[in-house]
Amino acid sequence: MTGGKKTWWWQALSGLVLVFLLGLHLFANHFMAGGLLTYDDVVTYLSNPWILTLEVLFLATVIYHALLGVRALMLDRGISGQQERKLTRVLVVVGVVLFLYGIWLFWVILT
Amino acid sequence: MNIEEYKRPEPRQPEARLSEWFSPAKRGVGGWAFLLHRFTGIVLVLYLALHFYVLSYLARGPEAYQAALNFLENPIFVALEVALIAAVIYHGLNGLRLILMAYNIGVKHQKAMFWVVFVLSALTTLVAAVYML
Ligand code: HEM
Ligand code: HEM
Repeated sequence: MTGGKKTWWWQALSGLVLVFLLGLHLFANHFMAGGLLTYDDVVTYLSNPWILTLEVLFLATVIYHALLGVRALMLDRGISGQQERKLTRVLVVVGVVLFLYGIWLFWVILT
Repeated sequence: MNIEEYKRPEPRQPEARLSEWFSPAKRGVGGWAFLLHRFTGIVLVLYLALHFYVLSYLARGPEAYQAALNFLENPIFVALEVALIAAVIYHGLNGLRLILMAYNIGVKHQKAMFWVVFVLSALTTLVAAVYML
């Protein structure tokens, strides 16, 4: 597979995973026990270790899929190989920062 | 039908301009599907950023979070939330359709599948809207 095809494949695979994880997220937030309407609801929801695991996976997958998407958008505007490498590095940093932020939020909520 | 039609359109020039992405000229059903997919993808990224910001209120304790939620009960935000649901459903279903296309599954029926995706999205959104409003 060439570079472009491979990243498309990862985009598709993470999209497929998101169907389930985002589905769960939306279902839980709106329908489980009447929806997560208050701070306490959120704490109770995240206290379940299985749910927490899935939400952490969800966090990582959306960030990955979203930034890969942003990268595809930028590449479609036509940039040089050097700019592409720079873009990738910037997006990796953004992704890691967002992920750490998400984990930090879970941690603050649960402690 | 020619399979080239269903692939992501190549940028028309190396320096494709933003305005061209959204140009309605020379688009078949596949082109419109792609345009909507791209548009909803961008909407979802923007929502994700906003969502992370709103969730930061969770770190400031129950009162702050409740205040943020109360603020979001404004009908404008509820309407935006319905639009968000529409974007998620369309992007997700059409994403599945694109994956099938990529594996050469049902390419013959890609236009019909687009309309299935479109109608399903519209119906789900309607149900969500009725439920939420
Ligand atoms: C619900 C499950 C989802 C599925 C099945 C899915 C599937 C896909 C697929 C297959 C593509 C590649 C399209 C192509 O270029 O041929 C894509 C692109 C994209 N997705 Fe998703 N996605 C999902 C959720 C999301 C979410 C939650 C976001 C944002 C937070 C997002 C943002 C994007 C962006 C920005 C692109 C790039 C658009 C483009 O290249 O025109 N997606 N998605
Ligand atoms: C209107 C629908 C939505 C509601 C009511 C909602 C609500 C919430 C709530 C209450 C939380 C914190 C508790 C938890 O982790 O479950 C959360 C977290 C999260 N949501 Fe949503 N959400 C919605 C849609 C979305 C969408 C469409 C996306 C993806 C684009 C998304 C991405 C996330 C992520 C990644 C987290 C984890 C953040 C963290 O690390 O704390 N949400 N959401």
